[in-house]
Amino acid sequence: MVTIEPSAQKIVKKSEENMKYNIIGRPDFASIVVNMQANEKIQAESGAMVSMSPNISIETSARGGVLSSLKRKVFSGESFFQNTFTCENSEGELMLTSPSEGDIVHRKLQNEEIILSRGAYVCGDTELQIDSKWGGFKSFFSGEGLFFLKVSGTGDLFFASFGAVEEIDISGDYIVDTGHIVGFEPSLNYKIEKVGGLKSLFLSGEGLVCRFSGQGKVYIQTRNHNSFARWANTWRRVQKSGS
Amino acid sequence: MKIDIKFKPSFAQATVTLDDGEGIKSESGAMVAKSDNVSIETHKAQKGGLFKSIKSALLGGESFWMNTFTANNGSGEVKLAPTLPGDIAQVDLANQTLFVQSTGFLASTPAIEMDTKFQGLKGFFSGESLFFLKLSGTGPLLLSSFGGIDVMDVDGTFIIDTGHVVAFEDSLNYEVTKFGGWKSFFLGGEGIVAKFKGNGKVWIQTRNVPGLGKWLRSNLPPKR
Repeated sequence: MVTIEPSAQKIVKKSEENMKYNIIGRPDFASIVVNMQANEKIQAESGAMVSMSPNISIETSARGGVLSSLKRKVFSGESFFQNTFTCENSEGELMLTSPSEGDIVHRKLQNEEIILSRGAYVCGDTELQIDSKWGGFKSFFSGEGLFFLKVSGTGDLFFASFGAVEEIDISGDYIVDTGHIVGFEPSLNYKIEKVGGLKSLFLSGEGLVCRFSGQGKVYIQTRNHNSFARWANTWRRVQKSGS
Repeated sequence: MKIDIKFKPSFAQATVTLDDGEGIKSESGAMVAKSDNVSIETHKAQKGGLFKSIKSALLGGESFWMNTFTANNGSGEVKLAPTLPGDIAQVDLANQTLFVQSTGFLASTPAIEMDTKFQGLKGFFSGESLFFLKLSGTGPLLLSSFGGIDVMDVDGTFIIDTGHVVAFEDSLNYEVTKFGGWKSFFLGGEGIVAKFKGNGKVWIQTRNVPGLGKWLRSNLPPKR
């Protein structure tokens, strides 16, 4: 049902043909099954592959150079190395997934940009540019990492959530807990701030939130990986000193 | 107050639409998102001063601090979700009392009062939560579960693993008891169970929180 406007067709090289994919196991344990055509390429986060046809080759590289990859790895929580899957000769099938329990969202970018939170990126068209984006000084304290991930260009993009994903069309101001942001459109302004007064900052368990303003879409996830990790940490054994 | 629970049953989230001036009290850390005109106030878990709150936090397992979200200058919404994967169930209390397992409380109208109740000494053996929160009053209450949630009508006697109990009505009597004989108690993997007697509803969860915790404990490296 995707219609491509004539103007977009000029920019698009290989996206004239839409990627043939199916997201299975939604929304709890989603995985992407791609029916790849001959010579089709997909780039993915390292460790995302579940299974593939034997005629699909894999090339591991630090995309965009070592510096840019290091920046992505250190600041945005993505893997240093990305894998590029190429389907040789005939058709092939590739299955990819994300490490967290939850949903996977597909979005076709048409010469546009989207901001993803740390670790949300799963895979996408090789034409897409992936870069780190400064999240503002205060995000340093939020435990979410200083940087977001900026994906731009034209092509298919897949990103994942912990829990279900809800799309919210924002008009005006809206507040989202930083741990529940999956991604948002750059038409929105955002500001990291505290949720209420100082008492709430330290005792509410909410910490820092993101204030979005303007018009645009934000994708939220219904579980928070930071909270879950903190909960899991309370169950760890404590090693006795001197042993 | 309008409550819309979506993404059931694995990753449920409650969207609460508040009228002007209306509020909802939630467990700390439960907020996912909110309208700009919804304010947050962080306060102690229950009325009656610091000591009762400390008791609630230490004994009830529920956080010491809670948040009350209030809509100002018109209606507004707040989205709430628990930490663990699972469901949310809405229970409308009508001048009733419900006992809720410490991790099972997500949110309630501020009109519902919270207190803790001693579960009984045998709870110490189970490694599971010793206390239930006692919630009484009138209005909506949101329970959260680890896994799916099921409501059972108990008529007579029924036995439930304590780790699977989310909540129960105060019309039921319960006693915490060992599972089967001594051999079953130590080797059966069930430990302590709750024996309910009488007439009333029990909400159970299909996964056991300490069960996941123990699994994580055996798989995570120790803290230094």
